[in-house]
Amino acid sequence: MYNLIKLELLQRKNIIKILGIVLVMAQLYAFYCYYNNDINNGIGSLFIVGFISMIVYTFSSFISFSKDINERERSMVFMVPKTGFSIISSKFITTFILGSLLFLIYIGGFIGNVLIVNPSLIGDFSIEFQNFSIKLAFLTIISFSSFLALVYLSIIITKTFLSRLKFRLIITLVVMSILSKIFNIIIWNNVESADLISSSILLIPVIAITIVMLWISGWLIDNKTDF
Amino acid sequence: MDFKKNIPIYLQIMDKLKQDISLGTLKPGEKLMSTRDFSIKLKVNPNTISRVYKELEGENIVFTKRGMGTFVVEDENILQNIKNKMADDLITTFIKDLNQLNISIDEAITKLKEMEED
Amino acid sequence: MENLIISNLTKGFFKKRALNNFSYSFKKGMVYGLIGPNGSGKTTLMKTIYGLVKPTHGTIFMNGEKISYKTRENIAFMPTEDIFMPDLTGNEILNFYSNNFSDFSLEKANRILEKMKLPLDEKINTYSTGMKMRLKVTLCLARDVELYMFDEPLNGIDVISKDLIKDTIISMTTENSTLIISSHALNEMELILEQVIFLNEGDIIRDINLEELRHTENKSLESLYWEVYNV
Repeated sequence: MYNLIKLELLQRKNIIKILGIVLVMAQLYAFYCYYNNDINNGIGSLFIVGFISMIVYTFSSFISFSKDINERERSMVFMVPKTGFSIISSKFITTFILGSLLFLIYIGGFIGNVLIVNPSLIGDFSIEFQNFSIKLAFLTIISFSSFLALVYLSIIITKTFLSRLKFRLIITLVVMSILSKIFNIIIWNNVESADLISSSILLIPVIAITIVMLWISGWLIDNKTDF
Repeated sequence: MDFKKNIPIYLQIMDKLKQDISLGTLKPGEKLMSTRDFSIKLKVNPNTISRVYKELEGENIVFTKRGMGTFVVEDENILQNIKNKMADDLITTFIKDLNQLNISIDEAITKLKEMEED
Repeated sequence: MENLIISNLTKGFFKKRALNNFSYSFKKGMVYGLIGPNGSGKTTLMKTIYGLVKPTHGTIFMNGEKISYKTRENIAFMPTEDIFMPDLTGNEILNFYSNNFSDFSLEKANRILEKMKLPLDEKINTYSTGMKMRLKVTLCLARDVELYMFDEPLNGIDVISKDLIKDTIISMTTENSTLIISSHALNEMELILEQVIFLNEGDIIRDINLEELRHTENKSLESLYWEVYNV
């Protein structure tokens, strides 16, 4: 597994470099704004850059995965004597860890900048607020992973069974929405309360479904998908 | 070595080795190349070389010592026999060709003598 | 001893079958040639043996074990297509193989690649087609397994490297290894192949031992090819 993750990281050299440079430059611009007493611009641009980076990272992960699965030119990793589940998990874990790191850096950086600008706000960060934000961050990360697994599975299903159809992207999106409807029915049928933030018990089925989706993806790779 | 691809390769290699032996290029008792090295040199499948050595051993032209390799036999008689047999084969083919062209053996002998003088 | 047994292997449906009830038993220690026009099923067969393509029907057993991701530990496959990520360097790919295949000999690979003069520190996207092929062949040659499969190993390769590859293939032919080589370059491979399977549209149309062919019919592989495919 470690070897597979190493390969995944090697493949992401470029996007990591780009995001790193963008974030550093945004921070420098923010400092420049603070120096010129233009706090709104500084904080605002940090927010926008961070937000866009997350979106860019997310989409580049999806596109990268789609290429890995669909393009012969990158199929080297499917030649290894490892289960499909290992291969999928390595891609998932790498994307998950990098994405979470990016997210935490963004959040931490954002809060840090707010405190730099107005140190007196420290008092405002009450325990409740901290708990709330930690839960929110956690929830975001779990939802993102679940969504990621859903995308992976949809891409693999499309390649395995529907590869002869045209407009692969649209087909994948259709598969995705069908799958998510199915999973939503499974989850929501068993839960009464819709109070997302406080009922962390909801996370368990979500995590379970994520693992199931990864497992199914792995099974398809081993038994049905042609490379 | 250039091979004709429509005749068994192992036979061609055998003939070449026999030729080398009767010419003295390969001496009695000399060690032949290993199967692997010889196959790389000729660029043929090693199983072909194995067969060559096996067949030659069957004809008592070479012998294999386990762990040591394959050697040309020491017996001079045998080597003389090879030369004789090759000569016989050549002549048999020659006579067959003559018959096909309707040339008599006497005509052939006259021709041979003429050419020898040249 | 037969170590790779294929029974009724079928891929595809109705008229569009890449493989059509293909059955064959490969023997240990022999070098097999897979011959046929493009689309005859050679690549599909090799990929199915490796497990990259999943059969529609039929079974493949290697040493009594059904083909799966596990059997890849005993099978080396050189595909004809590009499989390398363009942003990786030659060395990164070598290390990847070394880390994932326990029988891979980094030393042997480097020895061969040095003679081929490949710039291993450069990224794959700077490599020519011939260079990529050379790397691919070497990755297969550097493994130590019971079954080697080469899909067009001499395609697009310069004369000197071709020689090196042929020599290495010859030296890898032992009693313990089976080789399956598909090639269009018949005259280059003819002396290395022992048993040749002619494919057409997923079916075996001829299965011949080359030395026997030469002995009984006085034909070369190339002339048989012309005959078989009625060209």
